[in-house]
Amino acid sequence: MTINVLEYLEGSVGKYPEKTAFIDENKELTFQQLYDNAQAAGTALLSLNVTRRPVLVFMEKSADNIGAFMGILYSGNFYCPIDTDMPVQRLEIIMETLKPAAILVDEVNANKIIQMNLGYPCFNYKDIISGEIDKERLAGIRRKMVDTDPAYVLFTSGSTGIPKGVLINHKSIIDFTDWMTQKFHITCKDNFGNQSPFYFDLSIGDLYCTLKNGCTNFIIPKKLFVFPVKLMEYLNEKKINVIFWVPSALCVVANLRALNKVIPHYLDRVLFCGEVMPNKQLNVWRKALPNVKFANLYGPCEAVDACTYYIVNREFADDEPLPIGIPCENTEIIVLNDKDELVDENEVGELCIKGSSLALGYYNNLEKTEAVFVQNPLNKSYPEKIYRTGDLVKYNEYGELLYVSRKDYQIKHMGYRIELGEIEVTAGGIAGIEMCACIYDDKKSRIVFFYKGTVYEDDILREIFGKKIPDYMIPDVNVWLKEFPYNSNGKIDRKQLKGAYMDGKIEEFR
Amino acid sequence: MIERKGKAMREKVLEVLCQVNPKIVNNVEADLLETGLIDSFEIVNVVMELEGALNIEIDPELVTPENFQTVDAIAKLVESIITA
Repeated sequence: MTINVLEYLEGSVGKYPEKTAFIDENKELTFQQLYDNAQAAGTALLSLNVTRRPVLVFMEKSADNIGAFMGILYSGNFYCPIDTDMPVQRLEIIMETLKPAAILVDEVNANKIIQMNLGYPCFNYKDIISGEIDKERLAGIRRKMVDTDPAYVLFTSGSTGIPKGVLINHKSIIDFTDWMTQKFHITCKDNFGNQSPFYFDLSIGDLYCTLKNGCTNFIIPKKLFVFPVKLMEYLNEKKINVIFWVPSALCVVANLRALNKVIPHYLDRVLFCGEVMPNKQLNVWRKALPNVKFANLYGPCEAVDACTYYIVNREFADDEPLPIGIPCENTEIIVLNDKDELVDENEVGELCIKGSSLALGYYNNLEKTEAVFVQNPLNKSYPEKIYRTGDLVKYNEYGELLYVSRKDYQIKHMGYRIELGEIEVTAGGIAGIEMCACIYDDKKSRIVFFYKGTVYEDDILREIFGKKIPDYMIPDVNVWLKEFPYNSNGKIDRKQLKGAYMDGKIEEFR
Repeated sequence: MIERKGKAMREKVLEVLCQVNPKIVNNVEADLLETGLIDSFEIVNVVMELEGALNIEIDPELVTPENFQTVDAIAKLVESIITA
């Protein structure tokens, strides 16, 4: 029985004390060192005399982050990793919601936090890991913890601009980590190549699989993602065999033809999640690495990391969408139409999630929590919570789920209900189009299509679209862009795009 | 004469770079990587724009930190591809 994710660390320390657990550019931590650091940090935090309170981790991405996270858990509290580069104003908004019990900083950020004068107790990680360890008191805290106690809170951008803190408990992490370990046969022989920042839910998979299974996790220096050939050489040098990245990181490698030069020949599993993976770029990877297992995972932060998966097992044309697949074990996916009934064949509906992976809710935000963590409308007999993702999906002929678009992204045009995402998937397969996005100009009732790459004449574009989608879905306006705006998660910022277009300021991106 | 040619190339490269990230125009001497003026999303655009605007092909192996650190380094790289 696993109650607390610290049992993962403790299990691996018992089995592989001298093995490297996490390694970054400057530092290497064995499981033993990680364990000792975490217990010392945990002991220092006991001086706060609180449990089940958030502790902000304001540190640069490094192997030490993991020691900080585990240390906070040892103290009976939960951690909140954060982007140290975020604008001060956004940080202040988050702090208002979070009201942390303390802040953990590294050397680089200590001054920054002191200058901000936020008024919370501040601990320097480097100082506290050299302190005493009080095993007895740590054990005392531990005996009182249960698996529904929170382990971390991650902030995501809310549609209103106010970030929401997704609160995840131990049970949910264990549920996901067990699943990922089993599904992808993770063992102590695996070397992960971590891409995702720790303040992003995608990192949960490689972080906790490393702790549970005694893997080695190489925290890849961010700057390597700018130079794909170097990145592939790094994977070879470190003998990395499992990666779990955002699609855009994989796309850079494909677009710059890096796989023509260097084949990462240790790789045997490539997982991705966080946004739509275009088949055009995935096909480049599949061609270069025909024996690698590729898996498309889907899931919101509100269900830890992923709730559905598709192991790529057949050919796809460049313009076909890649399925998001089937539910992870111990997860039920319920697809509801706008009458809150199960969808029929071919009907588009909202993807709703049920299972142990569900977040506790949004921290200090009961209103937003109650809006999306709701009673299952199909169950009138006993309390049963589902999470409404706001993502629209449908089933294909294989019974696999297909992502269609965001719910707030579905439009009505000339009486037709249209998913702008469908137009984007189609356009993504057009030769020379590297990136695209659609918005709806509600004032003039026009579908506006933005794209990057080869410049097309309007009538040629119309003709190409005409072969793939119904007339009423063909964009009314095509806008070639030099550059797309991105949000802080690296996704295309459609809101900004639409704003600029509607205000007649789209020239800024041309 | 050679120097003048070098300057012209630098101007051209700068023009392309500014189309990708207009902030570069105010930071022509900067380390483009350290400052984050070119990041992992933009590198693809930089390479593709250079290839398109100057009608060249940049070998993936030449996409290295040394060759993309500064405007001058990129200009030098482009020059060497053209004259090769």
